Amino acid sequence: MAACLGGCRSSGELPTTPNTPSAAPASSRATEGTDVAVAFLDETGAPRDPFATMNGPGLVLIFIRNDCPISNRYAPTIQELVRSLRPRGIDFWLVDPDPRSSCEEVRAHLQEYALPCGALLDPTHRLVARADAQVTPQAALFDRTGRLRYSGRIDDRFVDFGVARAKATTHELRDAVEALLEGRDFPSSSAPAIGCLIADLAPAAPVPGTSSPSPEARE
Amino acid sequence: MITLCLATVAVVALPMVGSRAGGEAVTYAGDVAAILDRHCVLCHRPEQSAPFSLADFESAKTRARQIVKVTASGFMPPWLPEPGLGFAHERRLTTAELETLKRWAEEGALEGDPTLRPAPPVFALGWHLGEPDLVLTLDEPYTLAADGTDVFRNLVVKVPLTESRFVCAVELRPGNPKVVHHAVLFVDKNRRARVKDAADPEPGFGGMDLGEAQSPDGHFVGWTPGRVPLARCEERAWELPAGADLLLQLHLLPSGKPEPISPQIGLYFSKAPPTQRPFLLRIGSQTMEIPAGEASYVVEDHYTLPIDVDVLGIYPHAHYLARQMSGEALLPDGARQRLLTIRDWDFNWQDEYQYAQPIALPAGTQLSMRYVFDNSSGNPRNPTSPPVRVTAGARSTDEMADLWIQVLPKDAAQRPLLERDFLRRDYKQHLASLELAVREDPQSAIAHHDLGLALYLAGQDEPAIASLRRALELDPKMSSAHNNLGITLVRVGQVDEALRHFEAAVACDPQNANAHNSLGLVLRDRGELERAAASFQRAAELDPTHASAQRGLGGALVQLGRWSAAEKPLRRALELEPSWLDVEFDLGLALEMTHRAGEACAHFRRVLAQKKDPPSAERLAWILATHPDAARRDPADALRWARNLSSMATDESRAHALDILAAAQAASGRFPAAVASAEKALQLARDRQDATLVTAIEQRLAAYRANQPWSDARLAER
Repeated sequence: MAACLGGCRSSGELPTTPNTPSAAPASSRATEGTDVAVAFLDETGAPRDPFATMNGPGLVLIFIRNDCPISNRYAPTIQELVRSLRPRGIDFWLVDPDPRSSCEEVRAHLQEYALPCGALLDPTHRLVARADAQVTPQAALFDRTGRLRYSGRIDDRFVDFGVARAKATTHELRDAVEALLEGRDFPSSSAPAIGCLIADLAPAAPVPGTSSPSPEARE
Repeated sequence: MITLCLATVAVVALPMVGSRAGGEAVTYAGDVAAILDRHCVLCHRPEQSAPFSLADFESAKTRARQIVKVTASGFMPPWLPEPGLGFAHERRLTTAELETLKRWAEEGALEGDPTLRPAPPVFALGWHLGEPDLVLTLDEPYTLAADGTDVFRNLVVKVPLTESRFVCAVELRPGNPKVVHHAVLFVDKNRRARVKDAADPEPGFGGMDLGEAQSPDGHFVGWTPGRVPLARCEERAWELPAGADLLLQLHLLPSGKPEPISPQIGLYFSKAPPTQRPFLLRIGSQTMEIPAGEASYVVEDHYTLPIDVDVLGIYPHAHYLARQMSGEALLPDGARQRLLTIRDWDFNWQDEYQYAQPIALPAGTQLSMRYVFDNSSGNPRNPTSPPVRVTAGARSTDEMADLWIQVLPKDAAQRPLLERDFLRRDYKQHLASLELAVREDPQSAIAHHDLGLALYLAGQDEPAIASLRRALELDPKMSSAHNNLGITLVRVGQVDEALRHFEAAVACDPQNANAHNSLGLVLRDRGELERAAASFQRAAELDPTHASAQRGLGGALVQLGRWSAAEKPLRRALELEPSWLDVEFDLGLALEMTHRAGEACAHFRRVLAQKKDPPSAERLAWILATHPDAARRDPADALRWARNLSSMATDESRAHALDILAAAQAASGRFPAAVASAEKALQLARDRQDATLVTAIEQRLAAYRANQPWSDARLAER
C-alpha cells in the first residue's frame, strides 16, 4: 500500500513529508470554481488537497462507506477504472463521508478490498457538497480547473436495492472521463446512483483553526 | 398432531412494542429499538449475514432514511409472498411500525431517554438446536472470488455413517453468512457428485445441475439469511442411508473481496423411524421456450390429488426471468384456496414457506401454478443483454418453473398411491424435457443418450435403441451409450450384439464400473463363469459400493464352487442392499459349504421369512435333520420344513423333497415313516435315472432300516 500514500496521483509522485500540514496549501489553479481550497486527512492521517495536487486533465472522487455493501461490491470495478484511467492522467481519490470513520479504519478497508488509491476523510461533507454526492457509491469528475463536470453513478449495474444486473450495460463515469480526455461534450449527471444515503450521516461540525478531528486548512 | 413440527427454535425473546401518544416525538429508545430488535437485528448485528448492524442507536441513526426507504418498498425485511397466505414465521412490518420509522427519520432520528430502551435481544451462541449428534465440514474451504456475478457452488460433504440414520433436524451454518445468499441440502445416495467434484480443481463444482442428488425424502432442507432451523421433529425424520454423501448447494454473491467459506452441517438423529412421511409434489414445466424479448411468457400447470392430504409447505423455484408467481388449489366443491402469490419474484431472496396451519385438501382437488417470465431487456434481472431465447434447464442461464408442494397424506397407507400417480405424470414431463434438449441440440450425443436412457426406463425399448444408436453415431467412443444400448438390447433378446457393445463400453472407458458389471451379467448368463467373475471383480474394485457387481461376483463364485471367496462380496452386497434374497441364499450356501451350517441356517430362515423359497427350505430342513452335532439338530423344525417342501414339490424336485423328508423323519425317530419316504424317493430317482441321487438314497435307506438317523459329515462345524 505504500504506493498509495499519495493517493492515485497520475504522476506517481510521492509527497516528501506526508505528515506535515505544510504539504497541504492549495495552489492557485486549484481554486477556480471553488470558494475555498481545503485539505482533508487521508488514510495515513496526512492532510491532502486533491485539487491542489491535481496536475493532469481530471480528478475523480468516488464516495464510499466502509459498511456499504454496494460500494464494497464496486471494489473490483474501481480497481479496473483506476488501472486503466490513471495512466491517462486522471487522479483518483476515494472519499469517506462517515464522520465516525478513523484513518485507521479507512486504511484497513482499503487494504481489505485491495483498493488501489488513497482515501480522504470528509466528516464535514465539504467534498460531498462540492461533488453533489447523494449516496455511496457515487462518482464525481472535475476538470483541471476544478470545475465539477459529472456527478452520478459509476455505471448502471444496480437498478435498485437488491436489484443488480449481471453486468453493467452503461458506464457513465468511464464515458465522462473518455469524453473529457477527448474534449467532447458529455452529460453532467446520470440516473440516480443506488446505494447508502449520505444524508443519513450527519456531518461533523467544522472546527475552524484545527486540523483534528475535523481537518480544514483554510487558505 | 400435524402442527407439532412447525416450531422454529426461539432465538430471541422480545417485549411488545408500546404505542405512543400522537404528539410526542418518536425516539429510538422509546419506539424504534423494539421494531428493529423484532424484525432486523437477527441479521443486522455484528458477524451476521447483513452487511451492517442496526443493533444500537448510532448504527440505526446513520441508516435512518435508508431504513424508511427499504421497508416502505418492501425490500426489507426480505419476504416475497403477499400477505394473508397464512405462512408461519412471516417477516413483515405492520403499517404502524412503518409509520413510526418514517416519523423517526423525519423528526431527526432522535435517541430519546436511553433508559427507556427495551433490553436488547439475547441470541443463542453456537448451535441453536444444541450440540448436534454429528457435525460435518468440508475437507478444505471454498474461496469465492471478489468480483463477478453470483456463483453456485455445490460442495460434496462426506458422511461417516456405517448404518442408516433417521435425521430429525438439521442446522446449517453457511460458514460465511455475508456472502452466502442461500444454501440447500441434498442427498447424493450413489455418491455421483464426487466425480464432478474431482473434475474441478477447487472444492466442489459449479452450476445449478446437481445430477442425481435429491432433496431428503419429502423434505426441503435449506438456509436463508434470518432463517433459524426447524426444531427437532422425530415424527417426520428422514432416512439418511449409510454410504450416501450430502451435497450442499450454496448461492453466493461476491462482496468485492475474496471470501473463504467453510460451512458446517449439524445433524440430529432420532432412534425410531418416522411416523409421518410427507411427499414433495412438483408442478410446473420443463419444456419452456421463451423467445428473446418476450416480456410476458406464461407457464401454467396443474395436478389433481388422488388422495386426501394436508399441505405443509411450499417452495417456488425459478431463475432470474420469473416476475410473478401464483399457486392455487381448486377443491372438488368449487372452493378456491390461494397457496402462494408473489408479485415481484427475486431469485436472491427465494425461500421455502411453511403454513402456520396445514391446509387440508380432499382427493380430487386440483393444484395449479401460474408463473410469468420476462425475457425482455426491460427486466434488469435478465442475465443476458441483449436478451436471447431461453429454454428449460438447470444452468443459471436456463429457466425453471417449478412449484414444489409438500403434502402429508391423511392416511399414511395411501402414500404409495400418491407416489405412483404423481411419478407417472412427472416422468412424462421429464421425457418431454429430454426431447426438448434433443431438438435444441440435435448434434449432442449426450442429449440423445439421456433421452435413450429415459425411454429405456419407461419401457420403450425400440425408441430407446434408436436414440442410443444416434448417440453412438455422434460419439462412437461414448462408453455409457454403449453400455445402455447393450442393456436395452439384452431386454429385447439381442444378446450377441449387446455383448459387443459391453466390450466396446469397457474398451472406451476401462474405468466404467457399470460396463464391467453389464459384461459380467451377459457372460454369466452364457455360462462363462470365470470371465464373468473377473468382470464383476473389476467393477467392484472400481466402485466398492456397486451392489450389483458385488452380488454378481459372489453369485458367480458360488456357481464355481469357490465358497470361501464368495463370502466377502456376498456380505458386501447385503450391506448395500439388505433386501436381496438371492444374495441371502447364496451367502447361506457359502457358509454351509465352509462348515458354518449353523450360521447358514439364519440366512435361509431370513429368506423364508420373506417368501416361500424351496431351495432355502431344502437347505434348512436338511441341516436341521442331519447336522452331525446333535445340539444343532432340530428334528421337529426339520420335519415342519420338509413337509412344507413336499407340499411345494414339483415332479422334478419330488425325489429330493422326499429324501429330505425321510431324513427329518429319521431324525425324529420315526424310522418306518423314514423308510417309506426314502423308498418312494428312491423309486422316483430311478425313474429319473439320477444315479448320484439313487446311490445316496440307498445308503441312507440302509441306515433308516437299521434305525439309524442320517448324519451328514460334510456339515461338521470347523
